[in-house]
Amino acid sequence: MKTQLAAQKPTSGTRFLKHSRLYFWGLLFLIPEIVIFCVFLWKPIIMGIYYSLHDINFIRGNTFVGLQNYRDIIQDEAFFTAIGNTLWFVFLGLVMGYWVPAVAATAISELRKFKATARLVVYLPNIVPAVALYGMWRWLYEPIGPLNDFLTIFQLPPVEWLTDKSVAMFSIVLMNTWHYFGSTALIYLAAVMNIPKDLYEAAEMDGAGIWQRIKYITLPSIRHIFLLMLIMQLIANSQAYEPQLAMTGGGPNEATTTYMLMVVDGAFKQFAFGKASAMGVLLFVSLTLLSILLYALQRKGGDES
Amino acid sequence: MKQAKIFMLLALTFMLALAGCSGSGAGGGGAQPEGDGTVKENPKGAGQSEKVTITVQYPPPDQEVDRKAMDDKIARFQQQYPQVVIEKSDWFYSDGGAATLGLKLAAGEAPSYYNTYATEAKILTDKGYAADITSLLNGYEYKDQINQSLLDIFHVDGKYYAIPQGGYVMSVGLNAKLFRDNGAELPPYDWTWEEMIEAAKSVNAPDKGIAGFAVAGQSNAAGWNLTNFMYQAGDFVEEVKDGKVTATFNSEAGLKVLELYRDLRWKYNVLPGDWNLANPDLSNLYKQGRLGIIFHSGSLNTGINDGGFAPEDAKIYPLPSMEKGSPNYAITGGNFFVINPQQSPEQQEMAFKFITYDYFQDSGIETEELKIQERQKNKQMHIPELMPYYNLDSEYAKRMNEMYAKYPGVVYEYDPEFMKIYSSNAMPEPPFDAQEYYAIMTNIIQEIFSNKNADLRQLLKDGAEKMQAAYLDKIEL
Repeated sequence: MKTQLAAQKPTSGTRFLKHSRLYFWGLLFLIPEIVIFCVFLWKPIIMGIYYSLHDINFIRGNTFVGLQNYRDIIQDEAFFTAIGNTLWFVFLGLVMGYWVPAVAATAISELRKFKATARLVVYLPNIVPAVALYGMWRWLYEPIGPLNDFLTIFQLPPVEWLTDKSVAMFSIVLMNTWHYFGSTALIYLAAVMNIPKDLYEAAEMDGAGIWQRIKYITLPSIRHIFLLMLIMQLIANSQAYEPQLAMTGGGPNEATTTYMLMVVDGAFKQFAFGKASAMGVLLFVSLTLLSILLYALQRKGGDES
Repeated sequence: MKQAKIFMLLALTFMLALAGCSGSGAGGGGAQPEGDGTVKENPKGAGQSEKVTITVQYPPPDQEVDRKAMDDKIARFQQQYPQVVIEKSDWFYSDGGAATLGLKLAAGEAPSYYNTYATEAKILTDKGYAADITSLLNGYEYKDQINQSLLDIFHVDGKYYAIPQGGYVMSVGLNAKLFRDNGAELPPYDWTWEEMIEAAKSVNAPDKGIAGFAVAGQSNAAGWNLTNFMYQAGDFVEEVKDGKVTATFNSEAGLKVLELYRDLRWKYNVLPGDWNLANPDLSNLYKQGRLGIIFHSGSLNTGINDGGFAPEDAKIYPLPSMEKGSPNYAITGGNFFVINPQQSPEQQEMAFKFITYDYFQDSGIETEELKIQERQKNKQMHIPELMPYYNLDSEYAKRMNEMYAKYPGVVYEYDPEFMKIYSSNAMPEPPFDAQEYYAIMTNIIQEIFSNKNADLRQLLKDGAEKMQAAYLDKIEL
């Protein structure tokens, strides 16, 4: 009886073979991706976990130290300063920058003329190369630079944009927002363009004004993009270190030292690869949990709607 | 059959991927390191054909003269050592290069030797990233004529780890034109902190973006600069007592230095408005004529060759002393060559011979002369090393100076009065965890520069306690 059942029911192995035959070409095309992901994504992740449990020395060989690197990190005050700074940077990014691309996209979508020009103009900052960007903004932020000159027109005192501990992070977020909002705005714009035109036409026929169209059609239709952009911004800003490195070197007095800047300094200046890897692993775990949480919220939101 | 093909293909893919995943990280043709840091003979480098392959640092394309000189050196070297195969690497240990050293070593791609700086001595020797060259150096016929104070920088626990290229004792640059334009007199060479402040004030014009004085305010360079003042104030940062290393900088001397920094920023306002700078940003300000005094050992080259200053307008000064008659201590720095410990003993020996091939030779003088002629052609000046690798009283130094004398107006001539004073109080860096100490002091400096009411005593107390607990207490003598 048992043998008969087994004969009737395909085993998981045979099912796999059947599927393999069906998806031969698909699998074939996946091979490069599998290799690339394995070598350039999963290998570094696995090696990062391995390194985090070792004292890394490329000459003398690695020594297993268990959780010592993690203990060292937690005992380091700078670790918590860096976490605080990173959260502050993420928060400022949300408050000062998150809404800007959506507003720009909505405004462009409502334009009757010069829509293409407006699209180009908002995207232009994004094509400025990073080195030129940092050079330009450091000049703008100079104590006797254009921004402070502008403030004097209104009889305002000059601001120490990059050397005042309470201002430096704001200045970096302002620069970042200017640089990146264009590319995000285009994503929002693409989503807005996908909203069926008849919805707007129907609303207009019913007498809906511009604010009502935005409130009842545009925003609800692109809410999934809001969440996606939120996740992407949170992840990107949690890993940010280039603007801080270029603009302030993490100063003044660690006021702009982000988590990733500390990781990079630890690995490539102090050659403490084990400790830096342990910090990388902690960030990896945190961001994975954050992503899971946000996607769960999205699913819940989707179910409710 | 088809299924078998699919499986073979997938299996091959995963094998390839896993092969990528299982790399040990110590690839390449380097020697296999033993647990104690010694190196086994490398079959690739000194293999069956008795060929020895070394990889030398090769200048980038924009440095034509250096490239020609290197090509010439390689040709001459291979004529004498035909068994040596020379490969070229364009990787240099610079600000960015330091970041990639670990990766280069891990990949087995670091050249046979690489350049580095005095400040890196501790970390490179601690990590074992520099080969022990004691026996090679002891067998070198000109060892006794090499500048000992430079050799000492990479002399750790009785072993030598680097060959000096050249060095310096910390100095400052003054833009004499700025002083002249402001009707201000240049200070004397044996100046004090007070005179330094007065000199800075005399050319300071913040509203025009001109700062009287600049010292590094960013990265470990800030702590490194400040340590010169610590020494001058009489605090040597660390001391060994009862078999223990103790941080001493929470002292009255340390307080005086922090007060000096606070006053430069808040009382006299002579620093650049954007004080959070280090080189090359400070050098850029200097060559733009926006700094009166720059705390920078390479100020002559920055001013004359990069900034187009007339030679008499780019002044080099020794560091000041705290008060008249007290020692003007200044830290010694320099450029060095370190041999890659991953290389086989044969490769290390050949790398050593290659580095020192022109040392103390006519060819070394000829190479230097070619560089001078190139400077002359470009209407620039040649700035001789203040502390060359050879002793200044050696026979070789005399011959080099005779060659220099053939190029008046092209080879910069140091003021004998300056030479008398500038290196009389040369000092090494703090011996234990200098980089960590610099990092702590940099944070303290940034706090002072960004907070007018910073509690200096508290900063020193916290800094010294952190240095003690986090680093010095872990040192076993």
